[in-house]
Amino acid sequence: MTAYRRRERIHVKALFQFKNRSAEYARNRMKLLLVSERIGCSLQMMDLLKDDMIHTVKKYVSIDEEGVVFWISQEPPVLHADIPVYKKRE
Amino acid sequence: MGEVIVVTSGKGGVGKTTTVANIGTGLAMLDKRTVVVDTDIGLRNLDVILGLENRIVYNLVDVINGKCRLKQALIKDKRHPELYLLPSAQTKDKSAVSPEQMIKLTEELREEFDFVLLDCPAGIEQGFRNAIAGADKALVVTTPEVSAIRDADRIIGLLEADGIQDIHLIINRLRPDMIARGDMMSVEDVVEILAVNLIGSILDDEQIVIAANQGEPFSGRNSQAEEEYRNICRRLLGEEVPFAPLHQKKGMLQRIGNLFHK
Repeated sequence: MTAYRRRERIHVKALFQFKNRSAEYARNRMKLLLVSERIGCSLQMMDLLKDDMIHTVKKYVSIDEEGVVFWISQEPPVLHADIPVYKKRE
Repeated sequence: MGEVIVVTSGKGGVGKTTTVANIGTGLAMLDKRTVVVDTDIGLRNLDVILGLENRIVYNLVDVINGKCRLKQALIKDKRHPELYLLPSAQTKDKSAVSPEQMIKLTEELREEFDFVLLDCPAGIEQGFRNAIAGADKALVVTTPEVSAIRDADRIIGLLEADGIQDIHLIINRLRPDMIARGDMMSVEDVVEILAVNLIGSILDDEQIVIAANQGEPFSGRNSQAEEEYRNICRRLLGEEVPFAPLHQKKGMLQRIGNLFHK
């Protein structure tokens, strides 16, 4: 329900606000591209890495695959993987 | 002993030569003995921007090959007594010079001048290698466009790999109107993406084209671009100059238009 509401709000915003369009898109593209170039790992390889990591973690704990966020912060580059883990049902 | 600064970008056409001409002139106006060196062998350009194309007798390759003495090749600027140009060769190709020869040349220039500004050719080949060989510091010029930013990042990586740690960013051709409507990356965006120290942000200014046509950078037209070049020079001298917010003259219609965009 919360997720739905949030999506709705962004949609309405997009209709009325013409700000942050191509520049925002360019900024995100460049951030991702440059970080992958700096560490010598292509975007396709990062996808494979993400899949492999999910696969490996899944062997030990149950996780919310849809909720996995994978990102690299700059200077110094650090790889982050936020993997939501389900609690054990008693 | 002077400082050797290379102005580079990777991508062509982002304003390296204009930057060198303006910063060189600005430093000379602050009474610093300055030489601007065109290292783009085969594609000479800095001379026309400075309006000195008719005075060239010898060039950089002649100096390196020992055809003339350094002093014979240096051209004194028309207006600024502290500014000199060492022009590039128009006929030779880039392999005519080696990085070792460039280091020797910059060491010689360093003895004579407070600032040695090197205008680097576009690309990452031999010409680039030559230009950065003798430099202590690098100014990387980019525009807020994806292609220029990507090349700038590559150049920054190559400079760091070559041992140049003192790297500063100049963002050129900014258009406040496009930034305001979200269709151009802002100074903050570019600095965040490239993660390098900012030394100047220059507006897209038609005065720059006019100045180049007339062969006289910094002719006191009081444009905002000229003001920012002056600030870059002061920052190079170690002064703390605050970054002025980018603004532009707005017409009535634009002002009304902006009300609706907020």
